[in-house]
Amino acid sequence: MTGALPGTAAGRGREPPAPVARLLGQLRALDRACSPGHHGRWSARRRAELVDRCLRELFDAAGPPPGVALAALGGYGRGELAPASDLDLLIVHRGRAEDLRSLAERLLYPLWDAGFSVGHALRTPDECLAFAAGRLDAATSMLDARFLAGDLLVFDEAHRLVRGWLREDPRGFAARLVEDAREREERAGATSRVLEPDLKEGRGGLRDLHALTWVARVAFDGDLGALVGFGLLRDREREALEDAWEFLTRARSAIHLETGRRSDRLLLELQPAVAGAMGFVDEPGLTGPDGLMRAVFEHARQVEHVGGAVLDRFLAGDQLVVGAEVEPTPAGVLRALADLAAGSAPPAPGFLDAVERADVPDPVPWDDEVREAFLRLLRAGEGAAAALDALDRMGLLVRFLPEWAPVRCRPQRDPYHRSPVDVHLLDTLAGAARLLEDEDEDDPVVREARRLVPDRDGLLLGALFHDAGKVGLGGHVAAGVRQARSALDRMGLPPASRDLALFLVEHHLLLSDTATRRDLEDDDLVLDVAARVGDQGRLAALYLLTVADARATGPAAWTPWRRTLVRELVAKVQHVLERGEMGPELAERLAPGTVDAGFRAALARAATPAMRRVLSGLAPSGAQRPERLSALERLMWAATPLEHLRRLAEMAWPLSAVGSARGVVRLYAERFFRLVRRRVGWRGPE
Amino acid sequence: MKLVVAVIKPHKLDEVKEALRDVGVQGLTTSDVEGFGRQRGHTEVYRGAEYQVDFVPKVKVEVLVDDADAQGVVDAITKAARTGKIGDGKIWVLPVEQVVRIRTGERGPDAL
Repeated sequence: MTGALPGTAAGRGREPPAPVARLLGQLRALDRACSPGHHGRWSARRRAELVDRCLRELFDAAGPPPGVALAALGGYGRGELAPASDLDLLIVHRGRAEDLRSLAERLLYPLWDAGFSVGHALRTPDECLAFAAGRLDAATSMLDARFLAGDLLVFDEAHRLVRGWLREDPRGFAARLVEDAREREERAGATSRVLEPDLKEGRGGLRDLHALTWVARVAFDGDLGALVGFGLLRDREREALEDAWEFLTRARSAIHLETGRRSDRLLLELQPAVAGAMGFVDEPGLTGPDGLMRAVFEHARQVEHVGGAVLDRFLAGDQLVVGAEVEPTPAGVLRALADLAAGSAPPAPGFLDAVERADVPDPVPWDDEVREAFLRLLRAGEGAAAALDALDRMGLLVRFLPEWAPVRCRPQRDPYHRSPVDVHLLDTLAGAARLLEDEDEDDPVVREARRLVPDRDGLLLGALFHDAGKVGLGGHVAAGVRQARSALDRMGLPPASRDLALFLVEHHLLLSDTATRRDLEDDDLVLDVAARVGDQGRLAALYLLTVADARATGPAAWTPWRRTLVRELVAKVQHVLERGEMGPELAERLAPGTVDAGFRAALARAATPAMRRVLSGLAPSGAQRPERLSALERLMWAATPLEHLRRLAEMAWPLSAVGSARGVVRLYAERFFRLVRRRVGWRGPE
Repeated sequence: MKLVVAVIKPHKLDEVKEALRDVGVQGLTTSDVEGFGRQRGHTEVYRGAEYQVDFVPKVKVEVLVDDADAQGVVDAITKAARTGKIGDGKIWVLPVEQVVRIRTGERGPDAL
């Protein structure tokens, strides 16, 4: 059934009865009463009240027989009507449904004619119970049922039957809600992550909030306040839920008003209008629509997490991790989370309270203790991502890492990424940890590469920061290196970890981009990549990051197609580095003091044809382009000991005078000497 | 009308795209594909890990053209995609019964 804003359907040549005409006027006034982005829960309640009044008058005017009640179900029953929501009605009776058909028609025709989307059911109390027992959505709809008019006793009977049945097994009911949330996530995706989120059905959407109120009603005969009272919901969490509820209701209403239809998906094409209506304007590094999406993700993430935690706590009973004492310092917080990350049980509310109460200054001054605790947390592998996520939801992660702030909840608008930047970073961290450990990994190259990674902390930190430069200002790799350097330097890491992490951030696209766009049969290209990577350990770490990054990006990013190409490049680069062609191992064999002739001969044997031409002073063919020679320059620069580099420079010096001023050899020689000057300060023969 | 289908090396896509633009091709469809021809698969070695590559990654390019333009398009792709080494790929040409531009309903050569 497609919803529609009332009053928009073409009239059917009949004047609506007075209560409906009045309702239409009142609803139009309500829609105009505030901007389309500010119809929150108050507006939804008000809309329901206006409809209530109309329905009561219609019901009374229709002349109901005794023993019949009219009730509101679902969202309308909760008193929450978005502008284009359906009106779900229930007529409870004790007799035969056929006798009430004409009553239903007298009640509903004026609403249908006026363009309302109305659903209705005619049921006896026993039928209500049977339906609720058969379907979860029928049961929850009855939980929200609200008496409108007629015989209160018959309504109460139906309501009590269903509630009584649900109360026989509140845990079983909660377990079905957990299952339902999982199915909804499969169907509608996660409101906290996808670029076109479903604000109602998605994970972290309004339905998750409703689920909490149902649990509260069935288990404690109360609302969210009861969950707080019984220790399942923390005060801070309740505030976050209420804020999210208001925000998501406003956004959903804005979609209804913008489209004129009952549509809960915040499609890309609607985002500029909804952002404008809700007051999100362009800021440096963050467009209005991105600001809107960041807020949606932020709220939905709270709902997803808190909702899940409340149900976990309810289902776990007293099996929760209370946690040893949380030492109230930054290092203590990290150590407590590292303990948590190493286990699998959910944290008790008291544990999170203790973490939140800890004295964590903003920003945290890093010392040895904080760094060791952070690294221990990081090494917990997949649990580390979840622990950092929890730290972030408490607002503490940015105190440890101010560089995290600009990537939080930032949407990524490209065809590959399915998550906001910070979620992608944590997913990549978890993925990299898995690649280092997982016994079932089916990629043989991963299994080999993990043994070569020189510094696991460096790989994990590289994964954590690889996209840290996605801050809305373009050129994310260079910006990422700056962001990562500032964070890593503050941590005071050992140089090995720091340097590997920075290398990974700087080159995290190298393998993937090169493999898919360049000719892997070009020896110069392979040498160039080898020169940039430098050694086998870094190559291994870079491959693992490439895999973790792609797997965390989305299903389209790590296809067998891409994997085959990347692995081919890795294998070729590995061969170069193993054989030491032009690399440190060859250089090692050429001990200082080697005669020029020997050095030259060894180099010439290992060199590519282009390099050989240069060395022998022959003019290269016309097809040879200077920019391709730069690969060799970089290689020699990166991989050759200074002494040899100097000898090479001396040897190649005469070449700088060869041929015309624009000749390839000469261009090459000039650029080569610029590099050498920077590296060894050699300025040519005295 | 003809459908020209080419399977080429991935890194040649940009050059093929350029070459087709130079001969006046307005639109094309590409997909990442895997397969093998006479070169079959091969074995790759990364340190101790030896693994079989059964299917070689290629890019498939499809172009709809008028009969008269087909040969020019084939020539342009051949020239741009050739490296002279094994695995350069293949081009084949199919007759096309009907083409419809969905937006306007135009049919036949008008829809190209």
